[in-house]
Amino acid sequence: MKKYWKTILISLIIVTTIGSYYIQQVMAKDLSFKIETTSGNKGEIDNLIIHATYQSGDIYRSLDISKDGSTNQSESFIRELKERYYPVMFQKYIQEHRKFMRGKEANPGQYFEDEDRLIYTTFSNKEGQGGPFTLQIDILDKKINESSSFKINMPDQVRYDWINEIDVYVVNGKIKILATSYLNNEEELHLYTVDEYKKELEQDSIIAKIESDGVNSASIDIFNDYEKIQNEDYFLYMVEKYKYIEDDEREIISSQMYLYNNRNNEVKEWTIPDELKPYRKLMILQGTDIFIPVRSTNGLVLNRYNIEKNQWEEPISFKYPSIANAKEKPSIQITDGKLYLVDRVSDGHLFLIGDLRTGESLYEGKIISENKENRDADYSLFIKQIYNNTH
Amino acid sequence: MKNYLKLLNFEVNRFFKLYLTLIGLIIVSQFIGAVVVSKGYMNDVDQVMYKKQLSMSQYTEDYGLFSFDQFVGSEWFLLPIFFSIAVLMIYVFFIWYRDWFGKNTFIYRLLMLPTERITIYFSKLTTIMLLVLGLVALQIVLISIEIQIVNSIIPTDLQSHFLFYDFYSLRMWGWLYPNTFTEFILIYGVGLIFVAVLFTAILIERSYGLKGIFIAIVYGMLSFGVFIAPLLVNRLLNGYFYTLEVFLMELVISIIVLVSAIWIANYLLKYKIRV
Repeated sequence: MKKYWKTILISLIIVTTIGSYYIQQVMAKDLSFKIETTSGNKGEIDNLIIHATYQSGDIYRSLDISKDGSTNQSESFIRELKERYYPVMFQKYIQEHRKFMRGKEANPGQYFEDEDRLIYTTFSNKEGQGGPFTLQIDILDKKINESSSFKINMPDQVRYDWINEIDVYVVNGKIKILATSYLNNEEELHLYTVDEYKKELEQDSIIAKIESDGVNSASIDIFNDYEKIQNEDYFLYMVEKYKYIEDDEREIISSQMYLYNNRNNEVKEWTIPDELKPYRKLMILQGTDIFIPVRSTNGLVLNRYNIEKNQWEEPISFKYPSIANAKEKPSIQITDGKLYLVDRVSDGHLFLIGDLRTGESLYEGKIISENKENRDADYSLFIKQIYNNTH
Repeated sequence: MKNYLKLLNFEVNRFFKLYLTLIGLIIVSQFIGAVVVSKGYMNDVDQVMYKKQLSMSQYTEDYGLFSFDQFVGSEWFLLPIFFSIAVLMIYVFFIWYRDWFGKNTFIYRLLMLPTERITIYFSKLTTIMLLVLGLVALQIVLISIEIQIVNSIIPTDLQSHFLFYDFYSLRMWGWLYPNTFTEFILIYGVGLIFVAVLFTAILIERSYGLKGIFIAIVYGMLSFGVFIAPLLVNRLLNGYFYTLEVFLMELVISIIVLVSAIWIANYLLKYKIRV
């Protein structure tokens, strides 16, 4: 044995050091969060998963928080393999339609779903940037579990650097694709209409077009729920032109919002009161309501406009002691008539679920870090999405 | 088994002096670096605080805290690591060629040993892996000492809190010390395959001379091509396979590449090797 000491020594050092390094990593569970209920119905959070990014200094982590605590996304290699490219909302589609989902991108803007069908659309240009585009449409009949597919060559003279799909919906048997195209400094908002029976592009209407140069710039914002795959009746967009004065300072030259009715293809200009204008980028369109959240020192006020009734309704307010100047913005999600709010409060993050019909708070809790001693108290949590597992 | 251990110990012994020198170099360079970088940082802090008449708390508000990355990103820290990688890469070749070109063609005696000749191959392969993992382990120990050094120079107010295993936020750390033990095994497994293929290529050259160099290169490229085939195929099919499926294919292909490297080496050592 004695003459082997060098080999034995090296092996021992390797096993103990690397072994303890990984044991430590598993044991430490260095990031751990839990949700503590303060009031309301605990059942509200039963199936919720909060996808969040933790940030402290240079450290970024992805984690999922639920009523059972939190899991680090980097904890399991196999799990990460499965989930890195397909967020939870796509896991369900992959489970149910494994064959159909093959090779498809995990971008909700490219999908449409109703009771009978799941439709996937994708623009691609084989020749690389600047070449002609092909639009491919895959349709899955969910009842018989069979899919069909067809390709449409886009007109040759129409060239873009790339096309970014925002939403797909179906009206009167026509597939409509809302997308922005980019070419050099031009950006266009398109609505493509596809006749799926004739398998041809019926219409390519350019809804908005902007151009940017070094000084003058412009942007198109769309305020629909990007994650929603089902039909929506309206979409709301804003075209803003501005001028760079110096560094990051910019002066807005014009700002105009438009409401597009998907059912009759009507566009109308839409305006908001001056006092809400600073909050315009936070607008959320949900069904037939447009919400503009405004945070103040004693909570959150949701201003609300009803599109069908054509009028502003009584704002809904949720009271809590917020830190108005916190560097984190509140995370607001509206799904199925409920408001999901996560906001920084003095001792952690408030998690509030509100009913938008009654304006009442259904659930209130706190997301708190479980091991503070090793950590910067000065962490931030950014909520990417709050996902309801039952849907 | 006994012969394998003897050979392994013999190979480790041969490199041990150089290994200790390498370790010494890493320790000296990184420890000096830890002192130099943190002293340099403190100098800057003092100057700025003096010039602008700032208090410690004002300073941290404007400039933030000391980040350990400043040290980990410095040449004091990185150069000895890169140097060690280079030395070990060279040794992958040297571990074979020294037996042919050394003082008294040692390979002759090795091949005459009353044992399966592939044992020589395995012992050399294990040696390289031990040397690599030894340095990987050493760095873990060193980092925790270096944190102590840095923290003893930089006052608590300026220290940012970090845990040891937070370093994988650094890109290089990500592949040297992956997040999970599974990934650790996989990454160093790929390393093992890489070394095994190089060893087999060396044996091809040793068996067929000049012509062998050409065959060795073709063999190396072929192994690499087979190894990345699942990734290429998936790319061509626009991501038809799910990530988990690609991973499983890659796992199977890796085993095939490794086994064929060992099989070829075994054949060459038995029937073709020239002394």
